[in-house]
Amino acid sequence: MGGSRQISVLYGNTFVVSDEHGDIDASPIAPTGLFAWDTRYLSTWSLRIDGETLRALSVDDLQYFQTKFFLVPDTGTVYTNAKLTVIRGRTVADGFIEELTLLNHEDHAVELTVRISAGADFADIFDVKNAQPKKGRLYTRVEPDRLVCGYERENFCRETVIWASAPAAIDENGLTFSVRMPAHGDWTARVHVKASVVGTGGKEMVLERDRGRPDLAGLDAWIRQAPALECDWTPLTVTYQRSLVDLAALRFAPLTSGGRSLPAAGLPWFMTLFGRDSIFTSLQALPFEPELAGTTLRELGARQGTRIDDFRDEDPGRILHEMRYGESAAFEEQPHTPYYGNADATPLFVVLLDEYEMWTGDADLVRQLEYQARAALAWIDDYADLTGAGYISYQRRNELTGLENQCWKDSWDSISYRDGTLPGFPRTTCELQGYAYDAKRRGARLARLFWNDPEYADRLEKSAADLKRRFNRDFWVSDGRYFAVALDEDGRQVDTLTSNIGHLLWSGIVDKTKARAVAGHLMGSRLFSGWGVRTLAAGEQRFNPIGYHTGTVWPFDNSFIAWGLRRYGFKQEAARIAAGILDAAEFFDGRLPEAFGGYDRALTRYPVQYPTACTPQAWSTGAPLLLLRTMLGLEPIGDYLTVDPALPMGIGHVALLEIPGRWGQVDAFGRGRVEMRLEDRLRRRPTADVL
Amino acid sequence: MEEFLTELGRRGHEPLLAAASGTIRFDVHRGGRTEHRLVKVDRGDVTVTTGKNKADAVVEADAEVLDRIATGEVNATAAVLRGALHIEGNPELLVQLQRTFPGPSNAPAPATRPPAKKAAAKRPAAEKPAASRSAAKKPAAKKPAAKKAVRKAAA
Repeated sequence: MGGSRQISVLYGNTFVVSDEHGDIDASPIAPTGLFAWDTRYLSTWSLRIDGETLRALSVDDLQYFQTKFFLVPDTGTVYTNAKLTVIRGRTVADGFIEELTLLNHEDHAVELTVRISAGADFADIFDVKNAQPKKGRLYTRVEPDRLVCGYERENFCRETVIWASAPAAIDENGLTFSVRMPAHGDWTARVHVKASVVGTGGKEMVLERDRGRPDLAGLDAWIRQAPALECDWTPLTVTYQRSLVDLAALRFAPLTSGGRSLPAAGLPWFMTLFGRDSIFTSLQALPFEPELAGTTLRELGARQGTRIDDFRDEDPGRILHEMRYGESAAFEEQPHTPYYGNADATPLFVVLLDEYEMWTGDADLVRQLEYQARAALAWIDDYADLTGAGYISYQRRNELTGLENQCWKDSWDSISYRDGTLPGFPRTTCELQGYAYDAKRRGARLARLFWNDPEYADRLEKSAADLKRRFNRDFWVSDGRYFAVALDEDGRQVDTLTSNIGHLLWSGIVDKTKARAVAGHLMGSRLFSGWGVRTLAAGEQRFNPIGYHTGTVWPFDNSFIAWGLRRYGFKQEAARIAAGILDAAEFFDGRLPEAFGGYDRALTRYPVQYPTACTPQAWSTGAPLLLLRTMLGLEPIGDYLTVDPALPMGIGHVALLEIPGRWGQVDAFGRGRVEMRLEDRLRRRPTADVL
Repeated sequence: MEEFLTELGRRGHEPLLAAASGTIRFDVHRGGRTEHRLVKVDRGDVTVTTGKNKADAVVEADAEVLDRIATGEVNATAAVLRGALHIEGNPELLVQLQRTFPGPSNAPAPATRPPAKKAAAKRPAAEKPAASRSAAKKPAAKKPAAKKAVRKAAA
């Protein structure tokens, strides 16, 4: 069987998922293919030599946009007696280019038939797992020197165009090359596959600005422009490099961005604009790649809601949740053009705008986005207060295809009472109120400094103070001394202990007198596993160490919790979280998964990965970056960057060089001083063990 | 669409387009003829003229499709994706411009819509963003923000 290992290469929102031979044989359980614009442009792509399948020797993942498959003829036995090597080099661009190389190891000439079978089902990305019959017409067209596979439904038309650099016989199902190689000779051919969007009158329509072909120089420049990390703990430098490269892969340039990119949510299935994910990742990456934040703000601002549209859960001022380009979006079978059903991206948009200005000093963008920022702030009070209690709540208006849970913990059972029952809607989750508070405070700063509206600033501050006062009264679970995860539709507390309280610290909404109790819970044995803070505390009815939002540890979540702990002065606690998450990263070769099991560290000794389809995930990729920021205590104050390091003991020293910002470039240094508890200290370096 | 663009041009300044600059031409097919409307935006200042001038982006579609977009019946983004609108050149301005199109006007008021609140007056910041658009296009009863805008417009 063609091994379970899947190989992905991508560029922008074009990606190829194949088996380890480079073949695509799509099925509902193996959703492989060439995808672009949320459409599968190839569902069959297989290489046969003289009718025989090939065996994979190795796969060389060169870059995120490039891979090489080394293959030999399959003898059907465990032995390899290869007289022939086949190399498939694949580079993704606006489709992909496959460079086929055959090496003849015989001492005589050989003649071979090389066959590539190709086919396209044009499945929508939302349908790849449940083989839907197509509503339009599939067609293939053999032209003199190319094969065109197409799909049309009314004016919706997508075509896959395939051609080769070497002479080939083309039929409806693929290309055949008649190859003759001399003794020890070789043969090469380039096969092009282009994914195209066809507009009116057969004209091609460009949905993404051309940002050139992917190349190594571009990737090098991307890594060079980020600060350099020097550290005596190798796993951290490995994780840091991995994060920068993955962040490069996750860049996505929407059609309106003029070639500038922002972070998409996850690879490969979520290579699109997501409000929440793009904002969180931009926040994490601000000290490292600040232009991601600028692009995110511009793009989300350009698509901010302006009307009431129940199908899209759109309101004036609301920041989008998800944008999609496939058939189901085009025909409004799905609401993603764009879909607005989230309750957090709108306040977070303002938070990001302010944080972006504090780092970059880009006052122009703050002025350009004044209207959008004010509209976002107005949304909080005018459209998000569904219960009339003065809080952000959510309840979808699109009952059919809208999202039920519009906070980051978006699974069905993520918000529960202690006894395990689930509240009704609207739901008023606690972290949303923190984001709203922070947005108002930050909005006030922007209004005073850049919008020349001190009166508006005063009103925002007053409103924030009032929100904080009410929040600390209404959400405080006094018998547990923590904040309830939510209020239900009747305003009653949904009283479980969750990681959400960490986000409250980040937002600054927690009364000083309550902060120590909150930090105590975050670091206590019910929430802290030794690797990180669990989404739901052990002991709650729905707790499950491998429940998606009911017990797993999310690196992204933890990076913001660490930031929150620092905001309230809990340096050591923040360092402990950084140590746990960075330790876990080492087990994943520097690439943190979306989530891992919430087992006690003492029990498993290694972090158990939660199986998810997407890796890398943008906000997991950003987590080590934010943890570096919190460990070094980087904080922009006026035109200066202040440094106040608190590193875990296992790290001797860290130097982050040339941190970009309004100060030009600044270096930050830190030494490990925070004493770790034995059970959650950084894994000691092998060299230290030897010594 | 004709009326909509004329109305847009008459407004002179559209705050929803404050971050946008550029030109976009609509080639409107109507009964075998093609009409051209040129929209020029300079940081929110809008002028609309006729004529087949060069533009940063050219949008081509049947009058019927454009008319339905202008009334909020058809979503412009979805229309582009399904090929009902063809766009060439820089699509940025269309994305910006569609912010000024109305939403589906016949949507019934859903049960989950926020109850009208008495405290609307002291709510901060509602006036600026919620202003011009919602006043013209939305049934005023739905939102405190819309009500307020109507009051402002009337004043």
